[in-house]
Amino acid sequence: MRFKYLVSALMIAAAMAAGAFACSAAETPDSVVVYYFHTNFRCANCHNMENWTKELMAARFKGDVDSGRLEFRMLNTDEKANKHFMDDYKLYTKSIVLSLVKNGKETKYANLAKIWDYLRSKEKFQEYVGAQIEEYLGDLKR
Amino acid sequence: MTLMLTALWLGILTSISPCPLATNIAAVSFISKTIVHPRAVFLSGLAYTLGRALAYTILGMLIIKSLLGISAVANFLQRYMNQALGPLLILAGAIMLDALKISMPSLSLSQRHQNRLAGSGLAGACALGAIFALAFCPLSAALFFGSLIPLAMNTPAGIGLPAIYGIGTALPVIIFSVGIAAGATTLSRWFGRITTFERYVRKATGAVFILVGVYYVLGHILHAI
Repeated sequence: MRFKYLVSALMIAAAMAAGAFACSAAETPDSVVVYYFHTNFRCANCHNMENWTKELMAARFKGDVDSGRLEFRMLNTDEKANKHFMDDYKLYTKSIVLSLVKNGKETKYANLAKIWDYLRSKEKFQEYVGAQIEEYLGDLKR
Repeated sequence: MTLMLTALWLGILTSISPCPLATNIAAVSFISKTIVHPRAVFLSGLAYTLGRALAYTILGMLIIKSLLGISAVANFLQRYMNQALGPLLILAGAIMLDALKISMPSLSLSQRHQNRLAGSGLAGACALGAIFALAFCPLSAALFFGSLIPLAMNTPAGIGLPAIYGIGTALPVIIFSVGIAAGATTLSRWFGRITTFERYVRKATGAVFILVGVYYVLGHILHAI
């Protein structure tokens, strides 16, 4: 008898967990993720890239960040758990990658390779990264 | 022609950025160590350029022929070449400063040979060029793997572009070295102390190598920078 109760309780718990998981998957908001990939060795340019991107997102995209439509993720690819990103996005140096996530799945991504052309100008760097983010945010609505 | 100029410009752009500044300082110091002989400095600079051009050509060929994957090789070189560079430069610097003497039971190198091994010779300049070329920093990796290689892959004669890029990366270093040598020659002649001058420059090169080596150890092995 006691065993029967235990099994029932377990089944109910499992059903609740599955329901909660299904709800959370369905509720995952579509979003644009701005990845900044770096390694253990941080150069001056790498710090600039990080700061300029964070600054841009806090100023120009504050509303999108607050609503969860836009997210910044900074990852060290020298750490074991992040190594797969090197293959996933075919990275060859410190990089900023935009990822469009719809229904919990990445539907497209872009490696913003031109950031290296704009390292001498914060304004041009932010203009370029900002335009790319705008484009990806536009894709969210489609 | 435009592609060749682009490759050259990418090389110059790499060289004048702060990213490879430490290795450029070591290279200028090494190339101009025969400072009162501008011709020797020039030849040493050419050997250094050849080393860089060769390294980029071989690497470029391996990638273009799909023998190596861009991501894997780029990350391997950035990680391990830079880690190896620190101890290597400290060792070479110590030999140049005579702080370290190499002696093995079966192979004993005289002081003269030791000096030649670490501190002179066109082969040394060529090897230095190749090693420094392969020790990619974030910017040189971005320009080489991200801009030059795609350019070379989409062009029939693209296989020659990495060599031109290599020349571009060495050009500012050579111009600087020859300029210093020309100035120093005039200076040392004024003071009439050519031999003393050259000895000090050689020691200074050893010290520069050790400092740059320490910088690489701190940055790439200890991650303290």
